[in-house]
Amino acid sequence: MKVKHSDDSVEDFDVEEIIQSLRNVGASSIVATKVATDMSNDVYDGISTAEIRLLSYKKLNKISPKLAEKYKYRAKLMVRTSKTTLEKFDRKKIIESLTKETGITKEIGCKIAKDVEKELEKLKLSYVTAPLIREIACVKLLEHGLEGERARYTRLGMPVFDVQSLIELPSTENANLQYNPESVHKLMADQISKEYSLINVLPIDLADSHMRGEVHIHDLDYFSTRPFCFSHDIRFFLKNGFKADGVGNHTAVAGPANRPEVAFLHAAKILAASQTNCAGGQGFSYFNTFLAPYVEGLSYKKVKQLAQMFIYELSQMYVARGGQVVFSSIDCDMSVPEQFRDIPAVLPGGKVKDSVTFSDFEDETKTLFNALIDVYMEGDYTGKSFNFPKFEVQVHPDDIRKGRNQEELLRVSELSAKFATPYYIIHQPYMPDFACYQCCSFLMPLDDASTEDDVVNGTIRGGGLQVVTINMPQLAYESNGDDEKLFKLLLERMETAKEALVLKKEIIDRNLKNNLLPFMNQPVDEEGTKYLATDKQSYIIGLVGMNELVKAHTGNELHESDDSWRFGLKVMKRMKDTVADFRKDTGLNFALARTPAESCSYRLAQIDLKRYDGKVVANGPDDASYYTNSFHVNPSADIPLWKRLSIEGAFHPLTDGGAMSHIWLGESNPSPEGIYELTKRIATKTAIQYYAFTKDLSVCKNCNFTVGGLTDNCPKCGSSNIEWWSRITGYYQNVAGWNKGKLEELAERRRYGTSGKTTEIDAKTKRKLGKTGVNGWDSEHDF
Amino acid sequence: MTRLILYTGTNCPRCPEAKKIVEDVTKALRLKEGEDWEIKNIDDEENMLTALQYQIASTPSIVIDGEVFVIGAVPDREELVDKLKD
Repeated sequence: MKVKHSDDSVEDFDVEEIIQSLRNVGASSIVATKVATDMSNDVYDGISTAEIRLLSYKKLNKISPKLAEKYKYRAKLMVRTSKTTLEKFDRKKIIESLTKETGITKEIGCKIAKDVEKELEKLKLSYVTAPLIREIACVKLLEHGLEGERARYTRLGMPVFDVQSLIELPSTENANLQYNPESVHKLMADQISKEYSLINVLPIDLADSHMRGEVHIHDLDYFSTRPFCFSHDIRFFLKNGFKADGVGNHTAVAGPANRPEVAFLHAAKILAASQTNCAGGQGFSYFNTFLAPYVEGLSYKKVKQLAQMFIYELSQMYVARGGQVVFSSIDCDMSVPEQFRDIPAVLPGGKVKDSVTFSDFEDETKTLFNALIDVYMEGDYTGKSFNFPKFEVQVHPDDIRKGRNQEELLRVSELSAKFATPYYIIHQPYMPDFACYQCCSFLMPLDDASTEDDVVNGTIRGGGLQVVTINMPQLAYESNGDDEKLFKLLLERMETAKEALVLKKEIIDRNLKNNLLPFMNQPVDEEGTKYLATDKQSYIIGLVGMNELVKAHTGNELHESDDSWRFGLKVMKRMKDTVADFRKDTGLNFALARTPAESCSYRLAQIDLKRYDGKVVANGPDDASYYTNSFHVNPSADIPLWKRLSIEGAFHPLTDGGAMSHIWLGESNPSPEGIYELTKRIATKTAIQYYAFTKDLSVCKNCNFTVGGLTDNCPKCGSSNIEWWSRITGYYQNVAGWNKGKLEELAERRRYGTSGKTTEIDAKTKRKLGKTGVNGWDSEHDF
Repeated sequence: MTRLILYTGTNCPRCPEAKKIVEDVTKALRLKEGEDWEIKNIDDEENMLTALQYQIASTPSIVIDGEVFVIGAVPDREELVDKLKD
């Protein structure tokens, strides 16, 4: 006899199935067999499953109305699955998923599934969803004391209300991300990914250390999937062509660029493609030197057009990581760097001739450098400055002493005076020969990541795999003035950071093996060497709040006492030595860096305020308390600029993974000559390796006019519809997207004139800043 | 009071040359080692921290009267004489 299902499929009638379904609602074996036998007399060929259920119900009702009601409820209980299907409730499925996902025995699984079923019966629901069943199962796991199993079985995600708000309420717009479908998806995905890292990837001690604010593991939303930042060598793509997806299956494959336009377009697309595989910044080292052969013979106008096309591409491809521009940078040279002068250049078409080296393109390198400056100086169509790609200028102190590239440096100074766009990389004698700055000031010692062959073949590349920041002030709160205790605790926290970084290596190795990162997995040579090799990346340990550590431990801030400053240096030296030990122990490139700390300078201070009542040394009022970045001097310290730079400069040589100092400009129209002279002095008289001038900018949303300083009204059209922009740490950003801590820092920053005059912003502007910003400590990037 | 400090490093290739110049110049100016001038090895942590406070992270480097005279380079003999005569 055949039975017809609701989906029209046909099956043999099986009396055992009826007995089982009756047993499932609690009928005894005798009752179930009797009901099933009785009803099977009424079954006919082609009967529907619904009719079978009705027959069973009627027969059972005569024996036990209570069980019959239960049977009826169960029979109609349909589950809305996440595969968007409606399926009949089946306890077996719960048992299967519980044993598969949590590793518990079938016996316990069966027990929990029965409990879930009982719970559902009590609720008398009109329908159930698979997530609801899972939620109930999680509660039952906890009731059985299976906490770890619960963590593995739970779902990740967001409350319906939050998703609805993201989609439907423009008022929840995060100023960092435009309200658009891409960003909505990004925010939803970030949430799941971050929770997943905390619940299922990080061991509980590491997750707790992050939660307690002992360390800050950056970019948790990308921890389980992507490496952090990467610096590329465009010569590789100029020689070999470009596959946006890394393999050429999903995208068109381009050969080596023959024409200059194509080379520059490839350059922009390479960074966009690699951004899909990485959490942090993407950049090119020696950008204008390596592209110089492609502008040979072109008029200046044409070269400028190419530079313009490239910068616009990177400022307008609004596609990265869920609707953002690529976090991009270009390291540029004022003349062909010494180490490349005799290296054969890559020529249009990807050709290489031994007789043609980069030294043959000195003029083109300079021309392209100047063209880039001209484009940055003009700003976009509306006159607004370009925030990306970040423009990083390689400065050699020896060139300054010998008066080389003066004209170019003066142009760079003009750009600093106008928009404060440039970042200055000072090649101090203590720095490696091949070094580039990535993302928000991470120094990539390319010497470690690259070989002689890479230098010649065009595959100088490298990046930071992950960043973990140490909360320095906590060390002081915990050690109560005891040096030994402080250093012991410092070591423990650094070991925690190391553990997280080594774990990240395992994750990325696995992801590369699984080809989850196809762009980074592409081979660079015939031997199959991968584009990203984890053993050549940097493993970055950062720090936040050295100033507050020193204050809590010695009684004075870095700028208040030379002894306190010296103690800070001692702590830093200890960190550098520990990082060197880690390098030796693991064979991996561990590095100590100044973390940009966009989110964590605020987050860690806020956590500590709750944990260390009365002990906390932080800047600003409680609700906006923040720690001073890395080893920086308190932003509000009213000291001469040179003193500030000297204190910070002393830390730079100890920070082998990259350091940055800031000069906050107070003048709306600083003198380029003043900036030029200051640059020369910093490059030759301090140990500073990387810095930038920062000028606050007000951009009129009415007429698009940009003016220096934080103004209430547009000086051109009078509109009060003004956006304020400043450098959060490593890039320019609309201050409306800053967290409260960073805004407090912006309000407190001691600003300087090139003449040495110091200023602070007025009380009214401070108040206004206090009323803007985003809730929580999240920032656009958790660098 | 010590007027000149020469910072050297253990494996510093240009330090012997810098040391020779400093020795010659100080001798000519009758400055006494240990009193008027001294040599400090930057590989010693305490010396390194002091050097860093002068912005010195490479050798040879010279500090004269509390100010940096040269960083990571061999000093020019005549300039050194002029500076010490000041």
